[in-house]
Amino acid sequence: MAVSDQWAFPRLHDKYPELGTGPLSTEPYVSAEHFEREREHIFRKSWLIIGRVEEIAGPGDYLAIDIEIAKASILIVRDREGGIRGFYNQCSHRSGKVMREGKGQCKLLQCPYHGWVYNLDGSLRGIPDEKGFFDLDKAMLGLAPIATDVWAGFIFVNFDPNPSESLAQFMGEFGAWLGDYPFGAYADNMAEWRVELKCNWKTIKDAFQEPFHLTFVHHRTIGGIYGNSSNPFNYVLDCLLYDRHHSMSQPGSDTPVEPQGLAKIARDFGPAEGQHAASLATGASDVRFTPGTNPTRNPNWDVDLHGLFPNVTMNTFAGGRYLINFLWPLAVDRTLWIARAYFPRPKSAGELFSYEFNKVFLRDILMEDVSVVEGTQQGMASGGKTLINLHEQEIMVRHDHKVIGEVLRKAAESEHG
Amino acid sequence: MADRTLPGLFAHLQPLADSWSLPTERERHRRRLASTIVELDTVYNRLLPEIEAILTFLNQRALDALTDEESALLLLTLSLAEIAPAVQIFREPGNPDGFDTARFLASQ
Repeated sequence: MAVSDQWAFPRLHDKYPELGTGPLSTEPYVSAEHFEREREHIFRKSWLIIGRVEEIAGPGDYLAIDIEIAKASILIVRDREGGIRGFYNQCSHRSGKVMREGKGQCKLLQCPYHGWVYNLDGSLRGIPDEKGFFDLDKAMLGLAPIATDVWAGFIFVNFDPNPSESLAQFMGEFGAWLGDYPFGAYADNMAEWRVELKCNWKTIKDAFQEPFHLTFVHHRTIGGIYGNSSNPFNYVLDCLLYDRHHSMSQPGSDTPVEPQGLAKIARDFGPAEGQHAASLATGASDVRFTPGTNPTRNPNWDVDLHGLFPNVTMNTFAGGRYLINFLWPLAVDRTLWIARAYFPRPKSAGELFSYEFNKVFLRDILMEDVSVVEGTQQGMASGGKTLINLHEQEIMVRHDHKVIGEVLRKAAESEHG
Repeated sequence: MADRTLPGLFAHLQPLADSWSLPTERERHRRRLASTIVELDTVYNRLLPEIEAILTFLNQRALDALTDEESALLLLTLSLAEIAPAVQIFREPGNPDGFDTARFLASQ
């Protein structure tokens, strides 16, 4: 197949003409009132990823997580039968925080304030000096449950006491496609970074929804690895927009660069199946077509970019290597970004060096995105301009704008009858 | 201070290990930020010619069976990985676009 055939990139707006092509308002990124409506109608009503099943592998394992946007702390517990349960981390006595934020292992859940004890299934087990209380119906005083479910090994919660759709319905066709990806393959080797950013959650999410910026923001690190004369702006092989979620498929360079110097040493001491940087350097020949990736089956495929509504993005490479970003809103102009990367666990000193080399390189690439997004937020907040003008390849940004607008519009309509 | 003594074969690298055999990514990054690019170049140029010999030496033993001295040596190589982007790409310790990289907190 001639090289030029591989780069017959689809015109994305021709595929989705209903989205339009006009400029969009900056208001959703800077309005405190819009933020509160997002809190109420999106974050308290959507299925939200809060962890993975491997983090609570055995009975008594738990995660206690503060979720600022929902103004709640939640407790996810693996019960005695191996089931996963979610609760508000709130004692029935006086609303004390039952388990301190973090992860751990326990036989029972005990509140540190006055010692009330709960079983792993959330039921109330014991009250110190129970005789001093009045008319307690202990059967009604278990931990308050929160809707909890699992897709592809990711644990989701929903703050809606009556979720309007199941998790399977929420994930929809997108979930059916991506669900076979081996997300747990390297769960025993996770790298994590956290940073509090001075920007709206959507400002940073947008940066991960288009590789168009690669040539510019990442010109020092990977602009040259992906871009080349036949695809100088990193156009994508395809884009799929679902009901709320979306996905783009990205090629690597068709003229792969052989690593030099320390990068070559890292490659040579690394595992035979390669690390992230190796797939960038060697191009198509080593790529295995993992389920749930490379929808166009292009031999020069490198990575898929996904947006899981509302606040999660993923970069899925071959074979279970991936990056997942959680964008937790703290305020209209503050976001906690948690980045988690999963790559093969090193089995030798040489593999550990190789892994560290690639992990640091990935981390430094992620840091290149930060100054750009904080500057963007500042620009939007200034009000000097109130519109953004999107490029054809930025269609997933446009899709998010539209989806959020529709969710909030419908919510307002049903409120006002 | 943790014992960072290196195996005898690499005793000549001990002055580097005293500063750079650090057990976590977070500490190694802080050390990178606390250095000048001249200092980073010196460390990089000192370790690069030896890295293959070091990794070949360490590969003789299972990763979970390294002695304390061998662990100190392995951690020194991880610092080489940490400073590589600064030396090879950015030509300064931090991020050239102005982001304060100390804000990026590694859990490992």
